[in-house]
Amino acid sequence: MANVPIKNKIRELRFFADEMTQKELAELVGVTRQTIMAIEKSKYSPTLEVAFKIAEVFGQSLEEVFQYEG
Amino acid sequence: MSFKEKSIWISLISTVCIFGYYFLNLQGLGSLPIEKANNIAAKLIVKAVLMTIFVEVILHIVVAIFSPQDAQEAEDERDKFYQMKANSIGYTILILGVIVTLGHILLGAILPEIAEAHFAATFPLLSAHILLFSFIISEVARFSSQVFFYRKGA
Repeated sequence: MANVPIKNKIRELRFFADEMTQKELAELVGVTRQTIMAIEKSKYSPTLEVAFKIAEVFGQSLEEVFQYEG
Repeated sequence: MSFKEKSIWISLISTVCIFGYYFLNLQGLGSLPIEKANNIAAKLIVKAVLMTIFVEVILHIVVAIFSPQDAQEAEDERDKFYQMKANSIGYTILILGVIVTLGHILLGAILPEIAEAHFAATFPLLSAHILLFSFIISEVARFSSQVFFYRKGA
């Protein structure tokens, strides 16, 4: 199955946030670690709610974290 | 692999093995007198259902013992999304089975001699088995598609 057309900078943002782990981010956002992994690899498009929560964790706007490449 | 995905693997494998064994056993019943075959088939169904419940409970307990933290993790939006997509696939197959069963029952009512000669006399509990077969296939499709979504993304 093709990757979803929404790319993201979560891996990079985690690195600059004191190398935050996927598990830590998952707990802050309220999803499983596997879901964060799937979002990072563009295998799954999060809902708007989760996308906003992720952006909020890193103190960024939605567009800075997610980019639509359709 | 999340607990949820392991749980789906357990359901998929136990359903395929137990009901595969069940349907293989049914094949031998065609040569028996229909009343005797019905009796054996009914016992086989009960046996298969009880075995499925037993195997699923035991395997889920074993997996939960080896990964207790994962087992306590609640479902998230991705789990629910994959579940919804898989349910839709399973439902379509189940509906097809219901339509075939209805067709078989209607055929029996409208043209009983044809239905009797071709189906009912040669296969035990035929209507029940068409429904059961559709249900099992729909479950296998549901579990398989969920596993596919977890592995490949959606």
